[in-house]
Amino acid sequence: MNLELEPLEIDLEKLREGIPGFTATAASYLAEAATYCLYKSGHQSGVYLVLDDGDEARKVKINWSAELSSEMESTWQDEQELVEFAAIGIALPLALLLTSYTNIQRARKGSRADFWLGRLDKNGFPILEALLEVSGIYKENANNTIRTRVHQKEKQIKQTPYGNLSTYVIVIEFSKPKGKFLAL
Amino acid sequence: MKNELVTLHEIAMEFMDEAQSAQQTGDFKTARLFFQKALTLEKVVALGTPKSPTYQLTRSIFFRSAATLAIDCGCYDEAIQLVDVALSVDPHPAFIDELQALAVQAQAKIEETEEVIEITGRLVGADLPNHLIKLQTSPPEKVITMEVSKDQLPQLVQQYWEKIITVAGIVKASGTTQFQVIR
Repeated sequence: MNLELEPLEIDLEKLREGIPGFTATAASYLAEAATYCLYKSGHQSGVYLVLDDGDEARKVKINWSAELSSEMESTWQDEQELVEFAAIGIALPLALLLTSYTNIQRARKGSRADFWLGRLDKNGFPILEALLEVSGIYKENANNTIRTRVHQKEKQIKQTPYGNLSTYVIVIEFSKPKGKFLAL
Repeated sequence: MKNELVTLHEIAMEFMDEAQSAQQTGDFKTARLFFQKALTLEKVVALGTPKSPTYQLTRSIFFRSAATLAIDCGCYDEAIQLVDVALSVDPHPAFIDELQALAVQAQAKIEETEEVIEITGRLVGADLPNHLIKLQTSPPEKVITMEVSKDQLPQLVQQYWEKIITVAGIVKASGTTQFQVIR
């Protein structure tokens, strides 16, 4: 890990206020998922996620102030859904920190959301340029690793017509926590 | 201030979330209503996206989104129209196949769900702005509304007003009946 690099910082309370391209309602939902998933994995605010961007690893400090509540537990009983939204809640602010893009949009496609990165024109309308794929793992094991998830994403993208578009993949693992950022 | 189209897109995506939640609980009627609301807004966003090459990818993404929502809420004709528009204005190469596949899917749905019917009744009403005619059947006595093309409407009214006619129509997936021909 390159400890010389300034750690990145994500504030989940700030995410609740909204993220470029998302309403506060949608962003708040993602922030809550991320907060609860980190709590559930035994972490406290200020935890460092180790992010591997292909060349080097760097630390990402994740802060929040929302307290663990029984409502959170009852809302997020479906672990698969929790991890999916929690990973998105971490990945979207990370994508804005790690790329030059300033705006994120999602659009209807099949049964799951995908994300598009871009920037805003002078009228505040998005000029979309790149695809963002996100995946989450609650606890890595021999059959379910960040490496295999990245390979799956790479394979999936190659099978789509978007192969020639700029594509970024972010995989978040919550137990350590750690993650992988890859530009394809 | 936030761009108006961006706000509409965000609201459309929230309606889509509501629709998906309703779908998951088996409430398909509510799901369809929310998909329709999402479609109404997303269509405005797609059609309002600038046509310059800078927005080629953005435009294709929003049109694909709107066409998919149209299929979700059973508006198959509208899905095909959206795909036609998307393909006519410099679509992004990565989206051409996908847009065409959506049109094929919508067409297949239309063929699956359309039913040809024959109705005999008196022509008792015409709604010129909305291109509709009303036939009163007897028995049982009821009024059936049919969509008619803009060109056909004046001729039908002039020739058949208050007359008993037998017409063929197609009941579309949306539940509306489209006038086809006088038997």
